[in-house]
Amino acid sequence: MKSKKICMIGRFAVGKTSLVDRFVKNHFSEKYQTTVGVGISTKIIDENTKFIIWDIAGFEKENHYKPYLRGAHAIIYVVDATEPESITTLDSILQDSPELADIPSVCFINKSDLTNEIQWQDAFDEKLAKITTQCFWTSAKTGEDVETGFNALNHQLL
Amino acid sequence: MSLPNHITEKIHQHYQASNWCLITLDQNNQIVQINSKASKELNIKNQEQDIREALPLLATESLNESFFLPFYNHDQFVYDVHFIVEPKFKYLIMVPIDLVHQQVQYKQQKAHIEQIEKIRFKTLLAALELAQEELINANDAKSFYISALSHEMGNPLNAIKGYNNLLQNNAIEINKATTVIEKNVNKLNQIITQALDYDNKNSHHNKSVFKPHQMVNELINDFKLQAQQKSIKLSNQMDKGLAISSHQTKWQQILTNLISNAIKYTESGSVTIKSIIKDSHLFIDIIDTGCGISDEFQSNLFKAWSRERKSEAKGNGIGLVISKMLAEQLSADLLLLKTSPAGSTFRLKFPYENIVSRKHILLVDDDQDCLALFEYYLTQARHHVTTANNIDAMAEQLKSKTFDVLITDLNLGESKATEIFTLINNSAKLKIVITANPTTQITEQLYQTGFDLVLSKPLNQLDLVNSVA
Repeated sequence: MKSKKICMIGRFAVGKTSLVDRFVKNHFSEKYQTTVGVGISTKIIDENTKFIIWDIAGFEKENHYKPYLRGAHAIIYVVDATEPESITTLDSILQDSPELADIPSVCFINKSDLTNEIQWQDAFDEKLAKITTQCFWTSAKTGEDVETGFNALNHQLL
Repeated sequence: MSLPNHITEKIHQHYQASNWCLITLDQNNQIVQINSKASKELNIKNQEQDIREALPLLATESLNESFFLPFYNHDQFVYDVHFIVEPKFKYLIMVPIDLVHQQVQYKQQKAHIEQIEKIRFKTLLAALELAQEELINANDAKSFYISALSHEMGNPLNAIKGYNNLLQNNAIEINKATTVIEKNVNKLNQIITQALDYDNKNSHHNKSVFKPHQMVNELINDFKLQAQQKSIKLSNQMDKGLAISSHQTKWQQILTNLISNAIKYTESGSVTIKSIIKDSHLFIDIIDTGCGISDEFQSNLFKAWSRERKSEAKGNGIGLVISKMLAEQLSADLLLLKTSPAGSTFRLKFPYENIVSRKHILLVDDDQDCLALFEYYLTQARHHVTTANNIDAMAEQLKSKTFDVLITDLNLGESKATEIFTLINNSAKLKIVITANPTTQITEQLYQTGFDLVLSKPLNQLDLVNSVA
């Protein structure tokens, strides 16, 4: 079985840890707890693949996140559907680490359950299209499309 | 096999710690030693275990080079991870940093929550600003709307007041004055209806066919008093035969505003309203011999609240804005064609397809009175009308000529128009039948026969002329 290192990247409070919890433990907590550093979880995807999911602390200028990205097989970019500024964070990350553009990736547009608070425009889709090829409207809370998104990433890695 | 001194010293110096997890690997990445803390906290039971399997942290690492990972969260513990490759052995050192982690996490969590609140506040503020802007715009629109309404009502009110004064001074015949007053009361009524329509976006008034020449004549009559006061000659040079299919009330408002402005800004001379058909367009020019419009003012001409103070005329400068707006609603354009100190020409440019073309109509009815009335209605709208008063005369016409339109009564003496429908169908492009008994069944049958339109008697001029247009 091959282990694949998957890195979750995005601004703080977009729901990276919650998405991993939903995918790995099928669990969700409303309580927000900032991740400092990195948490690592594993999940067997199929008989050939095991995902080693690196849940990396929300990007901030003072964070030394680069050591965590070393050797990544794929990236999951996470943005908050209710907070468009979280897309700008991805721009900064890619400016800082342009090598990420060559790695297979998907983007999770998270918090899709907060329908009344979603602030989305077509321009954001265009922005994300420059960063990754596949986007999924996910909800760590309801589980909507979380598994679909991870499976799509696995498909890219085949 | 113990940790080399230089590494131990460094860790001591950096962390002030002496208790850490230590796993020693050989060059083949096999565990050769594991201390009790590592065994307990990382749950590695024996040295046989594959280190990559046992520690997901290392699962995808080549283990051929040194690396450092700060703040690695493993279960309830947090470590700084140092993987050090030395000539003989490789060392995985995991220094517990729980206290530091707690402090950093507390600080960051606090900062993040503050930042989230700031973002929420910013979003809320932006939404409030947007709502305020929308309110201001709505308020401006309302102000404009009220001013436009009062402006539009000004002209008919002026005519009513003027003719009422003439009546009071016995300076006009009662009949003449009441005709003008009634007409302007109707105009006011139309403006109010249109205002209500404007407010109700679902309401649409249908187009109708009318003659601009006649409309201009009526407007000239309304403005006669104002023009006479300045000795201005009002001249109607519109094509008498011209009929158009459009929104009559809007046309009336536009022309009222343009003629009113022309009189307002002309001290002597004339105001001429003239039609030209050219290049697939109908042009209506309003030509005055007034003071002209300055170069600077021309750019603001169609903007609300702008009025050049070159005349003693009163007004708020809204008339042109309203006229332009109404023209756009009619798919027309309003522009200043030319201006000089000798006068100005405003031009309305209207698409040709709305001009009612002259059609050759075969009109058939066995009732002579109806035939004469309908013929009058249609010729008034410029159409060329041939009449027939029985089915044989109709057949005779259809055999020798083709017509743009056939309008026939269903019952023609003992016969019915449907009896010769094949002939009708071959010789008329548009086939209209009139019935005095428009039941659903009869109407459906007539449509099934092939008639394009079924009209019912009694029939007024507007309905008849519109059906042909």
